[in-house]
Amino acid sequence: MKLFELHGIEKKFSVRKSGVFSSKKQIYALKDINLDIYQGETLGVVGESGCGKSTLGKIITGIHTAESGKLLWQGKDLSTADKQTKDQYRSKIQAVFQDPYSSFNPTLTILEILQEPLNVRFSLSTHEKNRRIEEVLSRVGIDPGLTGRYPRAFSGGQRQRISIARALLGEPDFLLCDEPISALDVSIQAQIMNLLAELKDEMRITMLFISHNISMVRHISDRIAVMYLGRIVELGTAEDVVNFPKHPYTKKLLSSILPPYVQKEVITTEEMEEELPSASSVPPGCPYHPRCPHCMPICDKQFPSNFHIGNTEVACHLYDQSTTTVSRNGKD
Amino acid sequence: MKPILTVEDLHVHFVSNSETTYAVNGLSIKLYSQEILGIVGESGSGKSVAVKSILGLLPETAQISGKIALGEERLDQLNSDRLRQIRGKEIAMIFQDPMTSLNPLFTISDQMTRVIERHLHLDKQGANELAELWLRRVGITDAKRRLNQYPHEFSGGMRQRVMIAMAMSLSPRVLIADEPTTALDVTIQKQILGLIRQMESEVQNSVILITHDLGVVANTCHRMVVMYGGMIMEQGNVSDVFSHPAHPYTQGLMDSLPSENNGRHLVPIPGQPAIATTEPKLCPFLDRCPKSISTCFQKMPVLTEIKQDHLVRCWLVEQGGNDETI
Repeated sequence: MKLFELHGIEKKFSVRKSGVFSSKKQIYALKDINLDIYQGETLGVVGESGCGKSTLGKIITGIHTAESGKLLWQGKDLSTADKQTKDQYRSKIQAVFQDPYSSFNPTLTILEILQEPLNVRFSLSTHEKNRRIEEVLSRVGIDPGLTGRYPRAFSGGQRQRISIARALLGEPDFLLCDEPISALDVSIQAQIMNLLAELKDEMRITMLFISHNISMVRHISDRIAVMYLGRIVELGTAEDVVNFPKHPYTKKLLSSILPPYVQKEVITTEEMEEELPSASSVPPGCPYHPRCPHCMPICDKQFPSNFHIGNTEVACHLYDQSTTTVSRNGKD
Repeated sequence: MKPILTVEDLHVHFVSNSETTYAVNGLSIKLYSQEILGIVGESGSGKSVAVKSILGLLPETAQISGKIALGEERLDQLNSDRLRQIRGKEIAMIFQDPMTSLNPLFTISDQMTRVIERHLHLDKQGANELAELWLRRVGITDAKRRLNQYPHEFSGGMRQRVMIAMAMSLSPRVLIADEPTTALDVTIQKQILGLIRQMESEVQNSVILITHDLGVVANTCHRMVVMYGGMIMEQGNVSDVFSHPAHPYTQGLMDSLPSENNGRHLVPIPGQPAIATTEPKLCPFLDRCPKSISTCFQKMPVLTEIKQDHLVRCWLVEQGGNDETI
């Protein structure tokens, strides 16, 4: 069953062209996003900075609203939904962000921080509230006896556990994880990843897992969407996307991962790239064409439609059988 | 072979009113010519503090003892004038965030030529030519125009290239790179690391690369040092350490990464890195170590050579075989 459906979602931000007094121009953070998120799945989103992956998460959780396109939650269009539906939707989604310190009020104790969602959402006795908080904290591996402390007394990994606890108190169906482990030490990252994976299995939470760490995304995701300058360029099962990448950009991303073992080939400077296109100067046609080793005449004119190759959807002219006969299999 | 840079029994303590922090505890490192040495560690491992003490960049609250020598010259005994000559010219450093190391109010040309003029005693024109040459060498094609731009007109990866060009333009004997690619995207990271490798072989200098990322070390460095709690836990050639990690901490770091064969469940290191507030008497990894034995609770292990150039600080290794668990 589909939990979310995104149809033609677009999001623009206006920025000043140069100084404070110059005119504004519109830049696209998301362009024509079509995506279904199924109940219970973990969808990973990868891409370089500025590709729109965080904006996508913010649209789905209602932090941003899209300029055009439709966002459907459990089949209901959220832009036209009544207040009751919207309240229901809001009560069922939670988020965990990169820096848990900036998402806590430093003047409140952990107990006060964790009571807030319960005060808003449920009418519970203080005793019942504290019992729930204790339960959730033990679940995420924080000693419930420490709730009198302030956020600063905890390490990064512990704070991230507490922000996961806070998300769980709302009993969400859907959890947005936007770079949840990026600020953590390597040995702590695995702890948080395991916790998220366990919660996902135990509570059947649907997750959108956004990260630039592709091996971690692969580890936790059922499906992976690859984004480039506001577009989804490839979408498929985690295994297909990582082992049989189709889009030249996906191949480039995967080949850039430095595995934690010594490889025969050492890295070289052969593929040095000059200034890369950014969201404020998106190239016409397929935005990847200036970097693409397979660029064809059509690529700077027209954005490719989605082609289905097995279970993978890929937006690349190489896979348009009417224009090309280039081999589509294997890694480059 | 004589090392270019020697650090011997370095201790760095930070003293405040309430407590003393033991950041580096008896660190000894030798850096040889034409090698890239990786220093791996988590936050609080003392890796950044250690290299900052080499250049005298630590605040006054730091109490430093030990010997630091560049060739034959003792850096820890130098006056600030001589140290200023060495910084940049003999030992250059690049940091994680190039935006904060570049002055936003001056063009790249201003910032590069000022350094070159000061250290190499060239005139304005000569300095400009050298700056342009180095921008081109780090892969910035339109170097002449780019020189007159401001830092904000460069992307993160390009700024880091400018920093590398600026550092390399003085042909330093040692380049210290502190997490140079942590703020960059993976595609750019690979290019910057490739550039550091290329520079190292062209200029024939030596590089200390500090990182928390095992992938970066495995694919960039020749030798590596694994630090924890301000001490070396393991050191050796990259190929030896990655194929036969001998310290439980090194093994733990490797197991906590996702790989083809460790399935759905990652194996994290329990607990979290702590910073010592008393002088360490036992192995700093002891309270997180899954393999500790009774000796570990009695005395501090010493760095022991288990194979040529492969050293490990662990009682398990000293007592033969690292798989034995008690």
